[in-house]
Amino acid sequence: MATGSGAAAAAADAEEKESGSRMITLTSNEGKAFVVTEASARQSATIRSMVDDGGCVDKGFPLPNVDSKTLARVIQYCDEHGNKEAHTVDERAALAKFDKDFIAELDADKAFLYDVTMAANYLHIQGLFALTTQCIADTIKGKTPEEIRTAFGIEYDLTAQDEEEIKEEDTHA
Amino acid sequence: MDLPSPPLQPQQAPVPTTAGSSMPARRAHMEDGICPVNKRRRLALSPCAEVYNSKRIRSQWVDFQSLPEDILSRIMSKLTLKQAVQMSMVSSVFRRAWIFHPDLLFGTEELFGTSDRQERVLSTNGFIDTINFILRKHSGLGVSDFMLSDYMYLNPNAYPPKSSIKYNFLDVFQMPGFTQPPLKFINLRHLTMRITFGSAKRFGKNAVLQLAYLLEAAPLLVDLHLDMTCADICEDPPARDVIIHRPYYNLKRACMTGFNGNGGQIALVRFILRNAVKLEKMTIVPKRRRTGKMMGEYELSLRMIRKKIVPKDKNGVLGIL
Repeated sequence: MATGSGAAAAAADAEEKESGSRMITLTSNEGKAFVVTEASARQSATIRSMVDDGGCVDKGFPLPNVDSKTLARVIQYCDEHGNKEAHTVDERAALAKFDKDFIAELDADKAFLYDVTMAANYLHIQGLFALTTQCIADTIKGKTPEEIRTAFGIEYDLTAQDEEEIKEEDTHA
Repeated sequence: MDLPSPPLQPQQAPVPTTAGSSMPARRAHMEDGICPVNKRRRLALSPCAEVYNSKRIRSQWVDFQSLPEDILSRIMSKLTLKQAVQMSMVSSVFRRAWIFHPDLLFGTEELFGTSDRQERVLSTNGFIDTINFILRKHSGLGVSDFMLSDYMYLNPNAYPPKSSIKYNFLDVFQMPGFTQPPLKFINLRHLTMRITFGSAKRFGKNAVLQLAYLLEAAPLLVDLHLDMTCADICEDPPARDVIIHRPYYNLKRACMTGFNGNGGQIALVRFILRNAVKLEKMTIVPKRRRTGKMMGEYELSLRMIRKKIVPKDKNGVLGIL
């Protein structure tokens, strides 16, 4: 578990001892409160830095950019990665399996996948952000432009000028 | 004082526009080369988003294309360069999304998706054009890996006339004469390059030494690997005052394979030894080591290293394989 650095380190260390029991409240933009362990919340670099800066842990953190459904899913990820150990091979394998199932489920609902990606970016949850962006990239891989448009429901909106340029580029690539 | 929790700023409401801005305006913006990656772009919500919204309070990110640019460019960075460039044909949003791609790996497989020898031969000219094209369009920002792997020139008989290769190769780095390359790869740290030079007559005797300007084009370069095939072994050294010396503080490891002792290579190695002040290792691999007929060339290379290069190795970084 990463702790704060510099001046905050000593205080953080002391707090860290009870952090296992310390709970943090995250509030979605719908006003719904989610109570999570500090270890779970610290998966988010955004929240971690606010906690380490002596932020108002007691009052909780309102997250005006995240709705309840998305936040619940993000917390599911944070709980798994924050509350569980990943020291042994077995533990790591279990975590990898969790990630795999987690992203497979998200992949089935693209709109929700984007919401979670946005939230992971906003909350700076590195592992989750890498997971979701990789998933989107994997959808693109090996597809023609036409297939990509279909896969993502993108409308063809290139202008005649674009097409002209593409024709010219095509002779190169 | 106990303030309410630090604000996590609410996102601004999406500005409903048809396509962010008019195409010419956006293009002008993109092409000035300083398009900020994290500039957020929001598009009008599609009808399906409204249906979605009725069930959920906030869900404006239902459209792949309306993801902010920093997220899109993260996704692009996970694609191969070829695939990323292909994305430019998908829609207007992606027309220039690839130009911040971090890896410029110019191998035949990366670009053509094939390693088939026959196809390579057919597309040699296209290959060079493609590299030129990509370098021209690429922002130059954020490139961390650059590899020019170019096996196609290895058999001189099978490929198009050398003159076009020479012209195009020098074109790639825009170094006719000894002007400095306009293109800067400010984040480039690792460069692998396989190059073939034909006869000195065609390429000019400065051609090899010109590679020294890679250090100028990529000032933060740490690793440089040049895999060279030089046909002409008796090339004269370039004139002494043809290149400007100045220190480079980032290059740590340099490797030259295919060394055959020609004047240009020697000048280039000496240039690196002299100017890369933080160099930790300079490896030279002479061409065709101890194989039958080429024994003579190998011995000559070693002799040239001992005579011309070892005396310049003041910091003891040189290694000969």
